[in-house]
This record gives sequence, C-alpha cells and structure tokens, in this order.
Amino acid sequence: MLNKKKAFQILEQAIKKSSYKNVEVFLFGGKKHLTRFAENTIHQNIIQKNYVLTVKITDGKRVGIAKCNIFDGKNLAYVVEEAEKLMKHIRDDDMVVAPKSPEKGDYEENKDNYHKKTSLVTPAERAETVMEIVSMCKPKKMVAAGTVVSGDSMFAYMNSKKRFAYDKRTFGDFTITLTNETGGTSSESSSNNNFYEIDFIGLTKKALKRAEMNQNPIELKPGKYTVLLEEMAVTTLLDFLAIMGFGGLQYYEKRSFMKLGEKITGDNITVVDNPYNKLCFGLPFDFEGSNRRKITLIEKGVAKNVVHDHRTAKVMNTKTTGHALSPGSSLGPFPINLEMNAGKKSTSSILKSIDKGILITRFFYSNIVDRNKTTITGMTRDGTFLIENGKITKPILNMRFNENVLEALKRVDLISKERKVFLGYGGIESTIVPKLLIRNFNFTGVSKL
Amino acid sequence: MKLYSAQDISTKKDKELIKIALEHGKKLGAEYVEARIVKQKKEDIHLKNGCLSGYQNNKGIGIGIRVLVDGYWGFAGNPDMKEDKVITAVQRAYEIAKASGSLKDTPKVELSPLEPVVDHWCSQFEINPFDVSLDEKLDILYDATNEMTDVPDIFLREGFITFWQDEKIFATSDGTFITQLIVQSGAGISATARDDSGEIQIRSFPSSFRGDFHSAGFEFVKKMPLKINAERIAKEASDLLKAPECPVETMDIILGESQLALQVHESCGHPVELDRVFGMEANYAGTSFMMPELLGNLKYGSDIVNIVADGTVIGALGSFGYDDEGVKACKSDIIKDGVFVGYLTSRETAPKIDQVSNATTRATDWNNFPIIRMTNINLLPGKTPLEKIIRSTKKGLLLKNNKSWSIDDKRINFQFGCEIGWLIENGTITGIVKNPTYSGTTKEFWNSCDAIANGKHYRMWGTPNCGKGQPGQIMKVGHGVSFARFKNVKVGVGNVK
Repeated sequence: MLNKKKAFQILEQAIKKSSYKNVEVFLFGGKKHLTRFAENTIHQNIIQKNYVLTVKITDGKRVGIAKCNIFDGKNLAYVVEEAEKLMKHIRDDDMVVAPKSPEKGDYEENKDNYHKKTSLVTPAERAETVMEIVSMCKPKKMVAAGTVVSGDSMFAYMNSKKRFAYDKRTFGDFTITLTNETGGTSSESSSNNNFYEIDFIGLTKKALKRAEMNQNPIELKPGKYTVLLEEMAVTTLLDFLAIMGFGGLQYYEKRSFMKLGEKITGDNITVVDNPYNKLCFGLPFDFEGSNRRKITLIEKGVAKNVVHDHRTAKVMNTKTTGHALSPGSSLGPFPINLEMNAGKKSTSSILKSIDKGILITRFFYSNIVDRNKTTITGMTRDGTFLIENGKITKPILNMRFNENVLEALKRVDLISKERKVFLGYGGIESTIVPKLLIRNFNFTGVSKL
Repeated sequence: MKLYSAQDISTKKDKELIKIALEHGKKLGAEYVEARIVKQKKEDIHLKNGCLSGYQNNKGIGIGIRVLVDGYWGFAGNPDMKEDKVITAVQRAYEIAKASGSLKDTPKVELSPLEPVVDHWCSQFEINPFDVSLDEKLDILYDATNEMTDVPDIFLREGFITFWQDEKIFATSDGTFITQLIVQSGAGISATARDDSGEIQIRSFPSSFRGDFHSAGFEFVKKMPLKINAERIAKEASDLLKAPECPVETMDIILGESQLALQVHESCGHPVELDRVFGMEANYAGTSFMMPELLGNLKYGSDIVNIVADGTVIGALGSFGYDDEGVKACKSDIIKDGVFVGYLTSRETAPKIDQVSNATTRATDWNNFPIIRMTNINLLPGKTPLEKIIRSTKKGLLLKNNKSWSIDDKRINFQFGCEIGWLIENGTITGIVKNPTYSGTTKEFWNSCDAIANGKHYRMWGTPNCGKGQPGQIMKVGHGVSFARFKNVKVGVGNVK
C-alpha cells in the first residue's frame, strides 16, 4: 500500500506540474482480496490493486478536473494538463471555491483502523475459511454462496495551500447466502477493520438456523402489516433517505424532503452522520481536505441539518461540514457514516410484543417510486416470516412493498437496543442501525410463478 | 475516418509484457493463462443550469491475469506496467488458483473448446470523440438546455455527454492474440419542474438516466436531436405537475423505446445469464426462475415474442469483436416464438448444458474477473404499425422513459415507474398522467403481449450501467426494441401513506 511518505511525494509532484495557484490533488486506492464461493465451491478468487489520482484546479469561478492511475512524470503532466484544459473551456460557476489553508485543530486520526495482519491475509487462509463454512452447510443439505474479503486502502489529500491529510485502513468483510433444498434462502453479513474479529462460524450458524426455518413458504395477501425490520432492511430505508434529501445540494435545489426545524418522523427517530463512532471509524477528512464533522440530521423526529461541502456552503452562506465527495461527482455533499439511534427494548421482547406481523430479514432491488413523497419500492429476500402471538411461525413468499419512508418512520412503535454495523466502500462508508417495529407497512404484491 | 490498426493498440512493450505473463504462468505450472491489457479513457460531462455539475476525465491502464491451475481459477489485477510487477501479478494469480482448488470435492473448471485466433477488431466510428474540442461538446449541451430556459416551472436544465474508449489486448497461452478498439458515445437532456407546493416532475430525452449511448463516435452525438426536443420535454415536465395521478386499476399498456428496452433487460436479459442459473450470483444479484429443465419447454411469452442475444449489431452499445475469453461475437436465439430456447453462456458454464460459449463473458476493466454479461438483447420487431396498436386499444397507457425499476432475485415479480403516461381511451390519446407505474410477473406479462410494432420504430438503445458481480462490475449493454402492447396489466400503486 502507498504509505504516507510515498503518497506525499506523488501529490507534491502533481501539484508542481501546474502553473496555477489553486491546485488540489487526491489519491486513493489499495488492494482488495476477494474469495467468492457458490454452490459450496470457490468459483472466483481474485486480487485487485489500483490507485487513482484526481487533480482539481480552480481559477476564479472556473474549475478543471482529471484523473489517472499512472504516476510517472509524463502521466502526471498529462492529467494536470487535462484539468487545465477543462478549466479554460467552461463557463463561470458561482459555486466554485478555491482550496483552503489547513484548519485550526487537525482531524482525529484513528490508528485502530489499520491491522497489519489483515493486510496480509493469504488466499489459503480465505480458502480455509470458506472450507470451514462449507463443511458446516453441506451436511445440512444447504448450498452456500458468499464472499470472504480482506484488503487495505489509503486516502490522501494535498492542496497548494499546504494542507496534507492521510488515512489508511484495513478491512475484512463476510457475506453469506444459504439456499435449502426447497429453494428457501437466508443471509448474513459482517464487516470489520480487523479480519480476525469477524465471527465467520457464528454468522454461518445463524444463517443455517434461518435457512432451516425458511422452507415451504405460505402466501400472504398484499396489504398493510406490522413488520419487524431487521437491521439490513432498515439500512434500505436510511440509505434512500440519504439519497432523497440529506445532501446540501438537494436542499439548495429544493429537491430535498428536509424542512429544517419541522417534524418529519416520529419522536423516537434520531439520525446522525458520525465518522467518529468507534464501531466504524470513518474517513476523518473529506475529498476537499476538510475535517469531517458529526452532524445531526434528524433529532427526535425534527429535521435539523443537511451536510455540506465548500460548494454548497458557499451558496447557502454556511460552513462546510466536511462531506465533499470525489471531485467531479454531481451528487454534491453526502453523508457516508449514517447512524440511527438505538432503542431500549431487546429484540426478543419486541418479538414477544407482536400479535401478528411479518419479520423481514432484508429488502432487495429497492428504488425510488415518488421522490415527492419519499416513496420507495422493493422486494423482501432471504427470509420473510409470519409472526403470530410473539413467535416466528411460518415462512412466507417474498413480497413487494411500496412505502413512504418518512411516513413509515412516524409509525415506529419499538426500536431494538441492539444495533448492527455495515461497512461500505474501502472501509470508509458505514451504516449503523437497530431493528424497527413498524405498523401498517404497505405490501402490494407477492413473488410467485 | 481514421483507421486504427492492431499496431495502434498494442505497443512493442505491451506485447513483451503479455509474453512474459503467459510464459511465467506456464512456467509456474498453470495449464491455461490469459493476459488482458486494457487502456481506458472516459469523459463524462454533466451540465446543470449552464454550469458544470459533474465532470470525469479518466485515463487508466492495467493488466489482468487469469490462470487455471489444476482446474481452478486465480485472478490478479495490476496497474503497474513494469516487468517485475507483472510477474508478481502472475505469481499472485497462481497462488490464488492453488488456494481455490484446496476445497474438497470442488468440481474442476472445464472450458468449452476454442480454436486459437489472431485478429484485430475495431468498432465503427467516424470521429473519435477524444479528438474533439471540449467547446464543441459543451456547445451541444448549452444549445439544447438553453431551449428550456423560458418554460414555466423548470428549475433544473440538465445535459449529459459521455464518451468511452477501450483499447484491449487479449492473449492466451493457447495462442490467441486479439486487439480491439471500442469507441462509444452518448448524450441526453432532462428538464425538472417544480410547482409552489414543492412537487417535482422530470422529463428526459431520448432516455432517462443520462441519455442514450451507442458504439459510435462523436458523429452520433452531433446527430442527436437534443435541441429540437428540449422545449417539448420541458413543457411536458411542467404539464405533469398539473396532470392527474396514474389510476390504480388493470388495463392494457404500450411500452416503447428505452422503457421497453429496460423491461427486456430486467425480465429476460438477466434471468437467462447461465451463471445466475447455476447460483454463482446467489449471494448478490440473485438467481433465476429460468432453470435448465425449462429450456425448450417454458412458454415464456406469447407466440409473437422473439428475443435474441446479438453481440454483432453494428453500432450497438453491447457489441464487440470478441468477448473477454476470446470468443467471437455471435447471434443466438433466447426466446423463439414465445418459447425459451437459449442462455447467455461462458466457456466455463456452457459445457454444463452441453453447449459451447456464445460469447457473453466480459469484465468492466483490467482489474476484474470476466463474468457473463448481456450483449445486445433484442426484442425483434413485429408486423403491426404503432398507430394501429394505439387505435385498437380500448383503454390503456402508453408509457415512456423509466423513472424507477425493481425486480426480485429470481426475476419474477417486477415494478417499473415511468416519467410520463399517455392515457388511451377508445383508440385515442386523451391526456397525460403523472407518476405512472406498472407491475406484474415475468411469465404472465410476456404471455400477455398481443402486439409488437413493426420495424419502423425499431432501434437500438444503450444501457451503460448494468450492475452485477462481487466486486461490483458495471457493463455497457444494448437492447433493440420497437413498441409492444401488454394486456390487463396492474397499473398504479395509489396514494402510499
């Protein structure tokens, strides 16, 4: 992996290639080892390695951007030249901001994110892990598919105002989907910066138990049901809220559902973007080199803030919150470390409280139906069960939902005290969510031939 | 048109590196070695209200090494084009393959036979977009989006242009050496309207989500009628604000253009990928209801439904000379007279159903393992004029331009949303509805297809963002469609609250 010194050299060299005063450069990449298994065998086993350099040059109200993955003198000159070329051709843009000098008080570095041993996990170790998993599944006549991942990544930012920031981390990831003899499925997943802290066996046991329950599903008619959404399903609701309205650009363009100061969900819902949670320490600086800040998005049901980068902060007369994405992205600032508050009830006590309802493991292929109403659709997958008198009684066929996310979050009766962490791209993205008990969740179809 | 030769794509250094990779793989003991150098350029411009909202100008290069050792795969991607780094990548791929084979009772990979080939292939284009000035590209978008300026309620005027250039050098230890140059171009515009209540509606041209894309040069974008359609779509977006909601009932629907292309993509293209059928995507993209025992037996659609996979269509986004296993692009039947007759296959999966690969294996870039991808999945045109289909519709909706899509993991239950629906009553279009959606199940839906418009409206559409695989890979695919009518389809989801 490119260490701090090497990254500094590449970035410094790139900045020197430009004759302009305001230059920003960003370097990220690393190695990803992925062992993919299906039908109880390894079918794809790879290592990927790459680093990408982004050059951003600003001059007044103009900006130019270009990227490359080769860092010799010739290619650095090429990428700088391409960025300068763009800048000369485009029209003025009020949102363009020159790079900033280093802030007072630097970002908080977390050295626990990097585990040397995780960066050295061998193909043989990953294969042994798969072997162990398969050996648990085969005797139970289960077919296992999934991934065992290990890797490292680095992120470095430098600008012509002497700001330099560097972060490195390792990551491990495990996903598994089991299919039983009747075609019923279950899934589990876990991520950790330390590969060796992932409980591969425990998660496989959980998936086995769930897959054994998911046989000969009954059909439930579409309609409104009480649902207990497990954590993976809750991430879908939260991720789509982020897409539909937590970003400063959507808010500025009045495309966001966020009406700051107004009640938009139930009192029991609080959502923050927090890169500093010890469960999933995110990238402490953003793609503009700004220190990332913990931001409360929804507090006890009230819309509190959206996230900003320098561009949206400029036009909205506020300060960046450190949420810039990669230069050139048209999405605008975006929260990548979302966290929903935990409740007070244990999962088992929530389950006991349900007379009749549906347990949903996860949603699949969800999409926005009506942005105006925050309505999304999707299918259930990998274990949808009927709950009767406080107990899981029968598996049911996968169902299609169409639901208004904000309205659903007004109908949350109980929130679990347990939460689960999901890590995303390069180990820097994360979502932490509890389970939710929601009334009158709207189902509109069933998956059957 | 500038002619690109194999020498333009493959330098002496590339050839040396490939030779080193293949020889080192064989020396280590691999029975089969592939080396794939890919040099990629991408330029992507997103203009919003006259300003640059997004921009990508990416240049990348690397080599992917895939080896088969004792019947098991190993793959390593490497961006560093130095001899020692390439040797390290081969070593890594070899070690990974050895590990892959350590699992007990794992069946060995058997590849469908392939004669070695030495060839060069270049997609057809007149003007290389990477030789065109930025001003000329930007002007197309400025000109088109300016046409929306005076339309009431429009607050976002957006234009998109994207160009790709892939130079590929693919060689195997069996003696294959193929060079390819693929240039692709596309563009689109959209207008977003908002009323006082905050409601938002969007219309795009020619397709939603950044436009339409072909294997072609800058000439394709220059010919796109963006400017003459800009004001119309802006007015439609504004009109949608005042339009009634899509009704919730069962009626006939007519799908056309990119929406029908997406319907083919999701409910036919994906379920016939043979790797999905064999569970290789069970953990991510899902599996399929179209199992091998149904091949030749499943009445997938009505008798008029004919779907082919065709990687040879000149100018289509999913076309190429050879796939990333070195198999020559070809055309094969998927649905014939309504019956399911064929899969998309790879050299690894085809032998499992006693077939040979039909050239559908591709990787996003040098850093990814090639997997089965759609090529151009085309619903062949029927015989009926579109006007006649509309005239013979008693009550229905004509739906265009996708707004949302969702389908289950076996590709059975789907729901699509479109930007706009035209209500048809007694054979006449009587108005528009907003937020139209329709839903159904694949087999029932395609069996309800009672009319497909003739070749007058048939054309290729490009989908540049098909996602699949772990790690995720994005692929550019194409779909040929005209218009088609489906009977008694559930439309609308009602006021979800």
